[in-house]
Amino acid sequence: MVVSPSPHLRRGRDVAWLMERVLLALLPATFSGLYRYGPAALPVLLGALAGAALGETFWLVALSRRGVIQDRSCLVTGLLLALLLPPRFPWWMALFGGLFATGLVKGAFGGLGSNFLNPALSARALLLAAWPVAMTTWVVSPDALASATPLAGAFPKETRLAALHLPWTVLLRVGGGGSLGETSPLAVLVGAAYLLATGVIDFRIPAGFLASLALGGWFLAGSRGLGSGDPFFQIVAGGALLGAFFMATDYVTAPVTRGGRWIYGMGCGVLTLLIRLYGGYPEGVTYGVLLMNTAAPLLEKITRPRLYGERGPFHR
Amino acid sequence: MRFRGGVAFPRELKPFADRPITGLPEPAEVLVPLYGGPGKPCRRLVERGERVEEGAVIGEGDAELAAVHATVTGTVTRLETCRLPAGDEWPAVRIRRGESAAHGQEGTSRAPAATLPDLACQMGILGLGGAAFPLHRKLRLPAGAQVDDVILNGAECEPCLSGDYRLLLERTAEILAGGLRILAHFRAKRLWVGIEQDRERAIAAVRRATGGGRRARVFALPARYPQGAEKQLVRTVLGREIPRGVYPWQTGVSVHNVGTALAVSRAMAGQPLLARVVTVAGEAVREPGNYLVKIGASLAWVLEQVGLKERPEKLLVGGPMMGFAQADANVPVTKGTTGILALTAGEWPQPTPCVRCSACVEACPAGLLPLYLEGYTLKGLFAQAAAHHPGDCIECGACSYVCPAHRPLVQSIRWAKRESGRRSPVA
Ligand code: SF4
Ligand code: SF4
Repeated sequence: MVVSPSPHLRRGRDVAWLMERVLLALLPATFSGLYRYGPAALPVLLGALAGAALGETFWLVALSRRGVIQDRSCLVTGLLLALLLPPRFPWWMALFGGLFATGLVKGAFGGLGSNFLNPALSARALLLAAWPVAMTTWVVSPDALASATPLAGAFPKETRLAALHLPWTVLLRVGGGGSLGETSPLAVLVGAAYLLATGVIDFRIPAGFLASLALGGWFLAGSRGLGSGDPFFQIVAGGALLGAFFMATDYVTAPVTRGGRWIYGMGCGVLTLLIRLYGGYPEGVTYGVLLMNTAAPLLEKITRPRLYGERGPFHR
Repeated sequence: MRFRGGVAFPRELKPFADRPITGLPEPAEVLVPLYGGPGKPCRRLVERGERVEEGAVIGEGDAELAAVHATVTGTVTRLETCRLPAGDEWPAVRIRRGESAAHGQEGTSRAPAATLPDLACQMGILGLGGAAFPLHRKLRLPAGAQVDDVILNGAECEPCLSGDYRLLLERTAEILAGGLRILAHFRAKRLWVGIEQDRERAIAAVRRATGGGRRARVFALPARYPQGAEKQLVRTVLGREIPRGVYPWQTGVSVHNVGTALAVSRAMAGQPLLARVVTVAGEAVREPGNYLVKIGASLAWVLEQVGLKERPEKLLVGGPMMGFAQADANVPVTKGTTGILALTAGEWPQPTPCVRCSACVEACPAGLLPLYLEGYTLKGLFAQAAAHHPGDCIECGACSYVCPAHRPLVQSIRWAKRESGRRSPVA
C-alpha cells in the first residue's frame, strides 16, 4: 500500500487547467481582433505564439525538463504578446518578441514561477525599443474614425483618441483601435468575468488598477482643469482593461498577499496614468505594470498576513 | 464570525450521513495499546495468561495519564509492542475473547470517582475528536483560572467523516448531558454546540433537545474546512482568537468533541470508554458507514467485517486531510481513530514549480505564506523559513489541497518545524 504524508486529497485544478482558463478567457478578445482586421492579423498572432513556444521548448530541451510544456503557460504568454502588438506588425518581429519573452525573461530566470517580470510585457517593451515605428503603426478602427489615418508618433494614443472626443460608450463597443487585443473592450470584459467567476484571478488587482486609473483620470486628465476628466475614458481606451485583468494579474509577478495586491493594483493604475499623461510612450500600461512587477516582493514583505492569534496595529 | 482562510469541499465529500451507527460484533481478539495520553505508556497491570473482564483496568499511569481498560472479556495472550496509527511504537496487550471469568476483576469494583476529572481519568476518556488528549488534563485548571464558555465540537474535523453528525442525531440527549456536566465542572456560563450549517438535521435535533434553553445553544457553523479545528472553532463561535502561545482555557474557553461529551455521560453511568464510532469509507469499501468499534480491534478485522470490493491502494486512519497512511492493516483502532478510509488511488502527482498563484495563502487558516515556507525549506534556508513562523501551522493540509502545482507544502512545513526547533532562529 502507498504510504505518504497527509493530505491525501487534492482539488482537481492543476497549472495546465488554470492556463487553459486564461486561454479561453482571451478568445473573445482574440476573435474580435481577427474579425476586425481579418487574415492580415494572423501572421503576428502565429508569430508571437510560435516564438513563445520555441523559447519555452529551448529550455525544456536544454534542461531535459520534460512534461512542463504541458502547462500551456507559454501559449498564454504568446497570445498575450500578440494581443499587445499592432495587427499588421511583421510576423518575424513578433516571433522575436515571443522568443525573448519565454526564452530570456522567463526561461533564463528559472522558468515558470521564477521570472520577476511579466514575459509578454517585457517583450512588448523590447519590441517598442527596437522597432518603435513598426510598433506604433496602428490601424485605426474604421468604425471609430472617419479619417483612417494611422496614428504614429511619440504621444500616447489615448491622448490622441481623447482629442477626437469620442464618448467612452462608443469606445466600449469598438475599442480605440490600435493593438490586436484592443478592438473590443467588451470582449475583454467577457473573458475577465469568466476568470473572476471561476476564481482563476482575484478581483483585488483589477479593482485597484481600474479604480485608481478612473479616479486619477477624472482628477488629472480633463481639459478644463482638475476634476474635469472623463473617468471611464481612461479605463476603456487603449490596453487598460487587458492590462488590468490579464497582465497585472499574472500570478508569477504579482504579490501573493491580499494587501499587497490592492497596493500593487493601485500602483499599476497610477503609473499607467502618469505615463499616459506626462510620459513619452505610446502606452502606459506596459511600463506601469512592469514597474510594479519589480515592487511585488517589497509589497509582500510589508503586507504579510496577520497570523492567527497575532495582535497587529489594525487588530484588537 | 467566519474564520479566515480554509476551503469549501464539494458536497460529495460528505457521504454516508444517512446511515445509522451500526455496532460491529465483538472481535475475537483485540490489541489494546497502553495509551493513556501523550508522552509515556501506562503501567501494565496484567500478566500474560491472566483472565480479564470487559471493562477491567489493565493499564494505569500517574496523574497525567488516563486509565486503559480491557475492551473484551478473555485471556491476555501476549504482551507486545504495536504500531499506533500515527506511526509510534507502543506497548500493548493482546486479549483473546473467551468466557467470562467467575470472579470479578479488582478494577471494575472500584468506587466511581467523585470529581469529573478523576472520573474521566478512571474511565479512560481521551478526546475523541482525533487528538486523543486526556480529558482530565483539559478539565483540571490551575487555581484562579475561569472558563466561561464550553464548546462542544460537532463540526466533523475532516471531510468524508460523519461520525460526529450521527452521534448528534442519535445520542442527542446524552451528548447534552455530558456537555452540561462539563459546564457544571467549570462553573461556566454558556454551553455551545457547534454544528456545520449543512448538517440541518443535527442542528434541528439538538435545538429540539435543548428546547431553546438558555444554558445550551446551537451554533450553526459555516461548512468550511478546517472548521473543526479548535482555534478556528473558537474564532467562529466566540468571535475572538486565542492569542499565539496561549492555551484556550487561559482565554476562558474549553472545547470538547461531541463524542467526548457522550463518553462523559456514559462514564457518569459507570461505563468506561471501550468503543468508539468510526467512519469506514473509501472507494474500496463495500458497505461504507459509521460503525461502533471496540478499541483494539485491528483495521484488517474492521475492513473484513465491513467488506472490501477490491484491494485498497492506500489505507488511512483519520480523514483524507490529516489522516495517517498505514503500511499494513494490523494496526489497532485507538481512541483517536475517527475514520478508516480504504482508497483505490494513492499516488500524489509529481509536483511542478510553484506559480505563485497565492491559493495556498488564501487557504491558510493560520495566516502563513506556505509557498515561502516551502521554498526556503527545500533550499535548506531554515533560518529564513523559521522567520515565516512554521510553528503556527496547524497542519490542516488546506494549502496542499488547493495547490495547482501539487507542491507537498505541509510536508515541507513539518520539516521546517523540526529544523526550527533544532536551531535557534537567528543561527
Ligand atoms: S498554491 Fe502552490 S502554486 Fe500556488 S502559490 Fe501556493 S505553492 Fe505556489
Ligand atoms: S500552512 Fe499549515 S495551517 Fe496553513 S494551510 Fe498549510 S497546513 Fe494548514
